[in-house]
Amino acid sequence: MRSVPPFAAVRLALTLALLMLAVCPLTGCRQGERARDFALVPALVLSADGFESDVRAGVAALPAADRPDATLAADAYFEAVRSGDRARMVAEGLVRWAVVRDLALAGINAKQARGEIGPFGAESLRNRVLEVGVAMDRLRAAPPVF
Amino acid sequence: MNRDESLQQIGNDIVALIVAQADALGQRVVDELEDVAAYAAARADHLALVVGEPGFDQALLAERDSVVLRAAGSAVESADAVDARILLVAATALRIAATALRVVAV
Repeated sequence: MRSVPPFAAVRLALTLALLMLAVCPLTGCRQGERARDFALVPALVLSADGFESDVRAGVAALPAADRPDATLAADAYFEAVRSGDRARMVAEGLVRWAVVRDLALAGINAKQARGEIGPFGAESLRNRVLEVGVAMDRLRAAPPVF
Repeated sequence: MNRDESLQQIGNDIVALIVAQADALGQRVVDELEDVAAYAAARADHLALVVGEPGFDQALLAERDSVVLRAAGSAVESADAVDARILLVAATALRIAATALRVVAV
């Protein structure tokens, strides 16, 4: 193979490719992780107080025999979320999401049944459950796409 | 197409690749911001229905949380798109570089 002549196109292609390879692992390909840590995690921590009210109402609505396990799950979930540690939120919070979501929905129904909140307000609370679920799922880093 | 024309075409391909990715990314960010703004407006409209109901304070808090979560999720999607496009540009640039090397080696 002959040596590469100094054509602008070849130089540009090689320079760009090598630059991308060098920069990408350092900063360029970690924007998603940064957005998760600096936007999504704080948003989940912020929403924990209001959301916990729904979950605790759901625990209270359970038969007495089921409350201890539900309380343990809720405690573990909110401790993980309030830690602000994304890895812990995924490892200890996301795995309990299905249980916590069901408790929250049951709690909203209970609040509405006893007149603590109206139908439109209940819809607002259910919408938050949906948004928290989407956010929890987004905590996991997306795989590279080509 | 002679070698010089091939190399010129490769250069044009690289520029087109970068411009296309930058345009798409910029448009995506604009679209995401508009989506969040529309979502916030829709939730504000819904909140107007809650006025006068019991538990308005809880609904207000829930709507605030929902909008913040949606905005944060949108930021994550945009950031993931940036990462994916950088990787795409890197991979494509490598392929173009390989093509360029083959052209000059002929």
